Amino acid sequence: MSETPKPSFSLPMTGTDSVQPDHCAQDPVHSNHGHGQLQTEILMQAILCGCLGLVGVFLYWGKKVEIILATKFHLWLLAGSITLVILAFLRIISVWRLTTAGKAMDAGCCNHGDHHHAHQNCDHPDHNHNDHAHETPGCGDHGAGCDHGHSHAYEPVKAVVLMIPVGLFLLNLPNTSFAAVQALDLNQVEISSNVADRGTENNVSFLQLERAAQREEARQLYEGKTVALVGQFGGNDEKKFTLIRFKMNCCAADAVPLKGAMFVDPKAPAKIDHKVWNKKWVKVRGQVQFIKMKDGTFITALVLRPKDDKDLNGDWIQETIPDSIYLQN
Amino acid sequence: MEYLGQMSDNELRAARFHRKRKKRMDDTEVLLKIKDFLLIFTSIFYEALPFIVLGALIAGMLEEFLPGSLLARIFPKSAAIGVFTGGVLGLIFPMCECGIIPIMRRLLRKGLPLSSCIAYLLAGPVINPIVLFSTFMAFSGMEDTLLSDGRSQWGAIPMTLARAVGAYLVAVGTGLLVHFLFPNPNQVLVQGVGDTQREGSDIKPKDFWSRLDRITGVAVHDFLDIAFFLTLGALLSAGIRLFLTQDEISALSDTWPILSIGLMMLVGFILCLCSEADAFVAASFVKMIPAAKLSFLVFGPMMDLKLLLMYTRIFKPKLITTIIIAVAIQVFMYMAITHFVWWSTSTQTTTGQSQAVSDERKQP
Repeated sequence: MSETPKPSFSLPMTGTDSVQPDHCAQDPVHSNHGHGQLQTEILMQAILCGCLGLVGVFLYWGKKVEIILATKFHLWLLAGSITLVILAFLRIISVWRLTTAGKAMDAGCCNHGDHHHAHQNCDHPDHNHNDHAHETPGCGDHGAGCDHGHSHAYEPVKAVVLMIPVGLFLLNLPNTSFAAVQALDLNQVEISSNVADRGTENNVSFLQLERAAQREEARQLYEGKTVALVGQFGGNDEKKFTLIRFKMNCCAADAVPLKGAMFVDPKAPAKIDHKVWNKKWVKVRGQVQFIKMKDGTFITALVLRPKDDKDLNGDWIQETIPDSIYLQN
Repeated sequence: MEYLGQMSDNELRAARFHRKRKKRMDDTEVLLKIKDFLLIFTSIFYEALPFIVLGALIAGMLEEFLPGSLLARIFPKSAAIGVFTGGVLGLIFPMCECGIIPIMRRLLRKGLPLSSCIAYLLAGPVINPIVLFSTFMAFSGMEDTLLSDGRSQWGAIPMTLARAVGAYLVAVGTGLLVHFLFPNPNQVLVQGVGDTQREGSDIKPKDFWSRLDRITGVAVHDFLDIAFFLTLGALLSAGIRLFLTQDEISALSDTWPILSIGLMMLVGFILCLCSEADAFVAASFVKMIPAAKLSFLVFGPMMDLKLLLMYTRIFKPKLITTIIIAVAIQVFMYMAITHFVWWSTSTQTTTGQSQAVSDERKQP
């Protein structure tokens, strides 16, 4: 009976965890459990849930969700966030309702009304609450941070960690898509000068060309055609740069950079104004080529054939606003 | 200093300018990295959030409405059959790896055997219709991609099948192992998790408000509990990913094809991707052998950084260690066999194609 349980493998409970171990000796029927404190803790838990839910709703509302999640998850986030807000609201209402109805103890985070510590039947001289059976699921989840076997506390450590997403939202972070992306190393890459012009092809996306690069037949289908691609400018050369666009499936964590090599025709006198374009969203027009890299893979390349600098930095490369930051499957 | 003394004013000014410029560039790089870190962290957190809310709500409902004795009545009595059944529960209760944890915890309380729960926990995030469909889509057309040695990749059907079979075998194997190693589940469960509901002594609330209190109490508690560890896992994952890019992973895999199986398990552990999305990431490693991609697809949903932290809310370290070792060894063995099968079959295919080409050339 008096054996002290081993602590569980969990973060230590802090702050208000330590419900007085001798409280039940003073009042075996739990009346001195600290109802005011308990209600505050439940309130804090509910507020934390509500805050996270509200942040989710505002992310959707302010369209910032586009930076972090694929379109198919936008409604999921909205639904989940609204549910969380409603859950928090119902939690507060139910606790308030039960408290005012005189059932405060039943409204605890682990529903003390549903299980028995059987205090009436023992005098507590040589054991703590852990020796009592918690017959209700929900109790004991809190680890062994207190003599009770579980905590009623909202746990400041948890609260601080869970407030990180809320704090980031208030700081307007994150506010851009990926920033630290390396451009392709194009120093030893050369374009072919004898690819025949096969006319203009509209509505070809970065994703289509990326896929086409993997297959011989698809490469033959697109090579020589003039297309326009949208992406972010990367590089600091006057004759070549990398066009970068991210492909996303579910969220930014699984986003994969697609990189296209952009070359100005070596015969053309025009130079790229890379200081102006760097990191900007641009629409680039050029003739498709697929270049074999050292590792055997093929990358998509566009060859730009401008008349002069003005033609290059205004017609072949144009600043643009993309329909969406990421390309999605 | 002597050197500096020999420099002209202009040279000194230029040197200072370059130092400042370099420092500014370094600062900018760090700033950009921090921005990317926050982006990855936020995306992992908010992608998982709705599913944890859903899982917590279902857990609250299970807590209130699922009688403790029902599961015991309908679930197979035999432990082995229970484990095999647990492995396919994901087809009935499809849930991602984050949402599955609160549900499993409540099912444990409701008397579902630990070994069956483990099988459901490990196989559920893979063997469910949504994930299998996304795997199929991700690898569609991949059979046309050739590796540098001329062997073709596996396409949608073999990859989807191999993933499902692998996940099922590993989950069932681990479930059975847990059954034999830990006959008394309470010894390896965090205090209170294994306290199953006792019929008769369970005083159910009668009125609406008490029921609501109970459901919301469990849901809020479970949500905060799991979301806390999700946050920590997402922070860790985002931090590690700053130093490990996809290009570096691809380069490592090209250098050591067989070791890439272990490497991709590690990558799956670190990246903490949702099982719905990971197939698309795996498919992006076009030059990687299929077994390495499969190891990423099987191991990742079973064990990653955020899951490891979440598991600490249910399992004691002893059980977590057992699960990690069992899953890692089984996945590696399964993938080694898979690699052998692929290597044998793809060699034949290549030989067959070469034969066909040479036959064609021989024709007048």
